[in-house]
Amino acid sequence: MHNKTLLGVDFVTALDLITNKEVKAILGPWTSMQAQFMIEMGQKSQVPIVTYSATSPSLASIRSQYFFRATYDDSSQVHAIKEIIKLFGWREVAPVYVDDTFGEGIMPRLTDVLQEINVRIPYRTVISPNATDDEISVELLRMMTLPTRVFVVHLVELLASRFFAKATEIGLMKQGYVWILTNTITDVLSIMNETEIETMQGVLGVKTYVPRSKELENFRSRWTKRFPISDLNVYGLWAYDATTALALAIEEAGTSNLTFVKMDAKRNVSELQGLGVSQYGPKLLQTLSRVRFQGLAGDFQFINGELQPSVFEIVNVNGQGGRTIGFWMKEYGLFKNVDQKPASKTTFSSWQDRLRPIIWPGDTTSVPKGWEIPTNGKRLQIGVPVNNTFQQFVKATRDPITNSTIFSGFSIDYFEAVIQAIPYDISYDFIPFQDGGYDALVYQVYLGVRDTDHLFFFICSIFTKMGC
Amino acid sequence: MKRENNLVLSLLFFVIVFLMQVGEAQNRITNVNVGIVNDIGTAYSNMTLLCINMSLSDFYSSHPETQTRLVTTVVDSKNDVVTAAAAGTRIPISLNLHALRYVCVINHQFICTLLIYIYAFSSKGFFFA
Repeated sequence: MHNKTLLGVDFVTALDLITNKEVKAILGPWTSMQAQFMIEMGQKSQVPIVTYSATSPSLASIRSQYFFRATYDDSSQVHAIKEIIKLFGWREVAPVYVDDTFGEGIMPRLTDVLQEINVRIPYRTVISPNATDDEISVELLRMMTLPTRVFVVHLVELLASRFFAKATEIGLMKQGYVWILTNTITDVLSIMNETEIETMQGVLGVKTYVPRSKELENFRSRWTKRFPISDLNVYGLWAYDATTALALAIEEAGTSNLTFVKMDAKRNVSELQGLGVSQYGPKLLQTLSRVRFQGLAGDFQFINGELQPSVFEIVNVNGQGGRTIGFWMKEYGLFKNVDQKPASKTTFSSWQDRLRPIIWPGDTTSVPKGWEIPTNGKRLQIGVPVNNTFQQFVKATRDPITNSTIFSGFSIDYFEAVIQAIPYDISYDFIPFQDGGYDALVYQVYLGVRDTDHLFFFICSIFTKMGC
Repeated sequence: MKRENNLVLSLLFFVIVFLMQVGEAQNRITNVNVGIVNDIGTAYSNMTLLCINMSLSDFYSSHPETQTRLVTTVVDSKNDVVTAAAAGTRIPISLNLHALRYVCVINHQFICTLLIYIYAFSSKGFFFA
């Protein structure tokens, strides 16, 4: 049947705590994978498991009433991500996530909300938790050769920093790329080092919102005095609040029935023999579900066994860390300030009304279009016949200083206007063509005079045809 | 002289009775075992452990009237019992007066008043000696 290696050490750990230490509740575990094993045991032995860091939505599907999450389910932020994508009108998004319970947990809800706004997911990039740098590079190169330029990244911090280091190296942190991070990474930006932050310049992120309060300020200053070298983040605040909640609930549950009854040996699988059932469990379950107070990380109350966020912060990584560019609110969507309430829905005409200025990857302020013909750094070459007589359509003049050719005229303007209107990015160069008419021009492509890797187009064929 | 002796004796008697009651009040605090499962050694999990510790000491110092105390056992998710920290089993002296007052409410008014005086005059929390 089951053996220890199959079930994992977390299972054994929980078993030991429950049978030998007779614990009435468990704080933890740290990761979603560990939680998976422990939740079931908590249910069987009526011992509440209160996690403050396991965020995978899939844990909720185990449907144990003895599982409490004093943190946010990862799925809760997908609406904020959706609003950002909707605001900029991007049509395609490629999710990047780690191949485990935590990583794939967010996918069902993310797919759903993107479908609501008709945003396509052309592919997914799934990265193994133990991926080598080379394996990460292979994935990044694939992403580069595909046209989608908007990525939602849901990785754990350690993997994320390696991922972005490689992305910078390969050239995916340039102008035109859009990166949206989930709060898993954004929440720990403050404890990342300079080199790591350097590779993530220009990315957007959804961050857990912690309302300001006197208590929090007071706690922070005590923290820095006591542990000057240790950084505090939101998981610490949740750990603090979860502990307070448990202390309150245990106090309210009283002290009767603090016993364990051994499970019926006959109906047990071998591993669970001797697992006690906490007689205190049902009472503690009730009081824990009812607990409500103002915690360090905000209003603390379990709804269906979880904390429910109503606000997220949106950040843009510039310089030393994340700069707040706005907030997502459950009722109202995106806003520059958390206390800003919508006067009327029609007053917003552009994204600048919703978010503060953004500096995108490649140090640019122009909004990426989210889609590019993947030329891998190569640009379209647009052949322009320059020896025609109708200069109103195409006129080529030589710049005496740079010795480059400057093109103007109706056809050029028209071409540029079309490029502007296309919802994705095309980088191109005009190539002056002196020798011969259109036939000669086409024949050049056939001969392969032009690098065939470069896409080669002709301008003016219709308009100048009228004049030629 | 004999009367004085009697007075001293009866006073002593009350003191003993009260000490027993305080002892009972101490016993009324029930320890409840709680497990903490964490990835010991990583910076983040260590940070959260410190937060749990601060939470417990903050909670019990601001709620001295509580009848329960969380006693935590920290376990590494690699299955090593690392520390067994008991929080709140030793109540700081400053909280004793609270415990005392609590006993007073439910017990005889006279003894209480008397013993609060004794408590006030004694420089140390003598009932924990």
